[in-house]
Amino acid sequence: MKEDELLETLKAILLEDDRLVDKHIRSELEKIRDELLDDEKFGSRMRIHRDADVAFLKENFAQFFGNDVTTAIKHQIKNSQDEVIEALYPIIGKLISRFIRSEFEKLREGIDQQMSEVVSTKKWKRKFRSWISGTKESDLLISEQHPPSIEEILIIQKDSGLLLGSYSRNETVDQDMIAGMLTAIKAFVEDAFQKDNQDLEEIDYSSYRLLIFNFHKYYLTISVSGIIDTAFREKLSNKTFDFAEKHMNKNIIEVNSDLVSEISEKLSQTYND
Amino acid sequence: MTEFLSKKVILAGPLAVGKTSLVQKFVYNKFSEKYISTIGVRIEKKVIDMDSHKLNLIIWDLAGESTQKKSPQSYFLGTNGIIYVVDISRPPTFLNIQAEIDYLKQKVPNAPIIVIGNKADLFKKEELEETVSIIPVKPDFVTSAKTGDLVNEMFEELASRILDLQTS
Ligand SMILES: Nc1nc2c(ncn2[C@@H]2O[C@H](COP(=O)(O)OP(=O)(O)O)[C@@H](O)[C@H]2O)c(=O)[nH]1
Ligand SMILES: [Mg+2]
Repeated sequence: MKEDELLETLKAILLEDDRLVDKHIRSELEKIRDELLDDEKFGSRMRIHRDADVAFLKENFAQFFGNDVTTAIKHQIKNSQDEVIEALYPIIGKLISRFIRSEFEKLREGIDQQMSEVVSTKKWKRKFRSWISGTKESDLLISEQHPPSIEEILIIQKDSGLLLGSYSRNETVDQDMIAGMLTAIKAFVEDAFQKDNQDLEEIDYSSYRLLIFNFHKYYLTISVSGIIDTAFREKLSNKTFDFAEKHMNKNIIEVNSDLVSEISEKLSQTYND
Repeated sequence: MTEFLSKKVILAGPLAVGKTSLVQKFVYNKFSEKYISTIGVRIEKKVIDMDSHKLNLIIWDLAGESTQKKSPQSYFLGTNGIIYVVDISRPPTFLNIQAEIDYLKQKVPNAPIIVIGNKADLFKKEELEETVSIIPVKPDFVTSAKTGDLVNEMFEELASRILDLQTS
């Protein structure tokens, strides 16, 4: 795979906008629906040759999505996962490879889920539920057996990647280096795909999910174990925006221990409950 | 008085001049003969004891070929100091040195740049001066990552230049 293609693929994979995909799917499905529900085109055939039509639909479903982002991504997931990881592995090492692997996972899940969601809404539910077989409903069930919990928070200066403050349940790896590493990964991903207005917002690694909150001069990463539900996510962003407003509204001139311990202190006050 | 200060430093220069070896010599005090080609960037950290406080150097070991093409531009942002390395045994690594340094100066206007000629161990003492004299920009240090010669000194010099710049 050429470098350009690789980056294109990654661009699609890492930075694609969920809503865009969703919208895309919706409108594609609208189109298909309109065509299928048009009696002149399909109606009678549908009724008469229902079984054949199911097959037709199944077969052509992908075709309708032939040029669709989702299909492209799915295809890429199947065909180039290893290649991409292989090519990228030496670039930023273990962390990004894990990150990409899990991005693939997440996307695969995301797409399956979106498809199923769209498919199962409103008229679609009625018209298609019986037609589109093979939809694994179990896939849609997000397990709730692991409640989410904050493991570590890092506040990192955007440009320099210097650590401004941290909160950690159990001190692990050197946070200064992690801060730099994350900043480099972020910069690499954002730069390579040249999406100026698109910041990387989530990284998965091992059993953690790293949520990234971008602010103007700094960003905040929260690593969470367990399964993040909407309520938790919402609570977390509210807290984070509050924190930013209250404690990060200063102009940072120098990164020194006074600053770092002050911010860290505030972090643990805010998130430790 | 604050206990420590954190600073971002980048290590730049062509491929295989010894950037990674220099930082690893400095950080872990070891040297590997194995060819480690770094693509992208490797983050290392070294705490230096200065007179009044500690300096927390976060070192971005950049992959070379050319500073101007390979690395994402944002790698240069927020940089407090630069070490630019060439290989004194390979003239192609320093033919372009002036342009590269000018580029870095323009990219990172307010950071001190230290120029390093590395792999001093490949020359006899008496050859060294002549060898170094053909480098278009005079190196601040002629180091060896292999023997460790002047490696600590170059990082310490950079550290104090960063602090000087800050207090001036
Ligand atoms: N003889 C000698 N070899 C060195 C020295 N520094 C690095 N090398 C070797 O040069 C090659 C490239 O080194 P590396 O640190 O990976 O260069 P980088 O691409 O600039 O990071 C490796 O084979 C090193 O073992 C040195 O001071 N002396
Ligand atoms: Mg290297």
